[in-house]
Amino acid sequence: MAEEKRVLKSTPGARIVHWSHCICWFILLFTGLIMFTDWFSWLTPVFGGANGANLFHRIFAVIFAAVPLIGLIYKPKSFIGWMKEATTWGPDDIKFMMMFPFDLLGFKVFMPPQERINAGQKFNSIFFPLVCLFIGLSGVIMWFAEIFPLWMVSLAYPIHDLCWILGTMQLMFHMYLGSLHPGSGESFWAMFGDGKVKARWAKHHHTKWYNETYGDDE
Amino acid sequence: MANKGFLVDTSKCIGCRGCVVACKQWNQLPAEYSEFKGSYQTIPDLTGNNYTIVTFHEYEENGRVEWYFAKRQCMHCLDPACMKVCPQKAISITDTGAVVRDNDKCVGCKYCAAACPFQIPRYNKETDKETKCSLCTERTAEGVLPACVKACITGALWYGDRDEVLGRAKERVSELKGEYPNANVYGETEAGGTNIIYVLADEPEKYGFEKEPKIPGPINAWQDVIKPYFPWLIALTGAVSVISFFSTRLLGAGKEEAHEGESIDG
Repeated sequence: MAEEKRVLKSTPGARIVHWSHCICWFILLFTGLIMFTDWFSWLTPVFGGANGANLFHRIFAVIFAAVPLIGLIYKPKSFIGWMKEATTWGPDDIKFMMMFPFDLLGFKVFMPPQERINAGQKFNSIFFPLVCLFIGLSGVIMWFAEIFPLWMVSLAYPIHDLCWILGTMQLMFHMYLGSLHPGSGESFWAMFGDGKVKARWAKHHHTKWYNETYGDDE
Repeated sequence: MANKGFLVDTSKCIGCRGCVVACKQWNQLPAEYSEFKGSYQTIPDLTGNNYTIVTFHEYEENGRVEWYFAKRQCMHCLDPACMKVCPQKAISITDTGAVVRDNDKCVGCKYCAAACPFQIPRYNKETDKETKCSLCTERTAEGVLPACVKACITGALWYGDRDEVLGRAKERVSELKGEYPNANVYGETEAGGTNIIYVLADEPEKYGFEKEPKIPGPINAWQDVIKPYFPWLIALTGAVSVISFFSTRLLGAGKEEAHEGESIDG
């Protein structure tokens, strides 16, 4: 049987940033939770005490911030392109978002044709970078609290917590929709695999993009 | 046990800083060098190695320089914001009302510094801990006066039950009213009341105090709204995902292929 045709959806750069944030987010989340609630005090010994957890938190915070920043410097056009995709909203995107709750629950609804990233992923692509930006900025202020004015420091704490909570809230959907949701199937490997998805799947889920990019091949 | 604290009678303070030295000696805190900035106040601010200082506030009044001295240290609030925000529960109130830190539990996160309505806790880089006055709990437990009170030569500091301290403060203010019409008691109700009570000869602002010290608004929002309620959003999206996992499979049973690969839009 001939190998099924597969097409590139996510570039190596995108996958590196995604991988790094995937790993860092969870380490930062759990080391941070030790400082947030008693519910996770059982985790404290894993990181060698609360001080150890704070150290891990800072090490991975640096990686968390550095990887996308390096990517931004190394390939600014790639980031700009992604942001252009994410901020271009048409009628099909609005329709997609309106129908999404039904699709999420499994009702058979008509989903308008989508580009390389669908409207939900567009929202995700704006939401997460924003959340990460605010987490990073507030984190710097919290880390070097002595050199910042008090009003900034007292704002940084609620912003940091608000952003990781909203981020993790979105992450619940993001993880599920990217893996176990029946429609996602292939997109998991677009990020965690070699960046390629089955052409057949791409044509169905990202029709506009597929036709524009690979349509001529047929 | 009744709350205990001390009176800082600024009208009796001569700015000798004996209290500062006694504090540093008792707590074995190293000296820190400071630069002369045109004021006799040798230590510019509280630091991780200075739990108490005397601030010098100089004003030109009636054709001469008037000095307003105010000893600064932890106010030992009755309802301490630092204790509320501490994620390690390293701050507690003793049975005499002193607000104390557990050095072993403290991780130097500086949350307390941001929450304190008096901006007292300071970070010590060498120990990676937040520091502040403990009201010499280890001394008072043995029936000895706090180091600063013991050292005060003019009687500007007086340690005792909070009620008694407050009584003395009010008495002293009524004495001062003639010469200092703005004399007032500071600490009775400020920030919910403190165990350290001041007799100020003039408006609090003149001593560098805030008239109405408050916990910063964002800190309250953080503690009272974001921390207790917002994490439920994570549970909500998590629950919806789990529901979707089952409902998509129930509703899509037998039509898996259609959803997966072929076409639902014709």
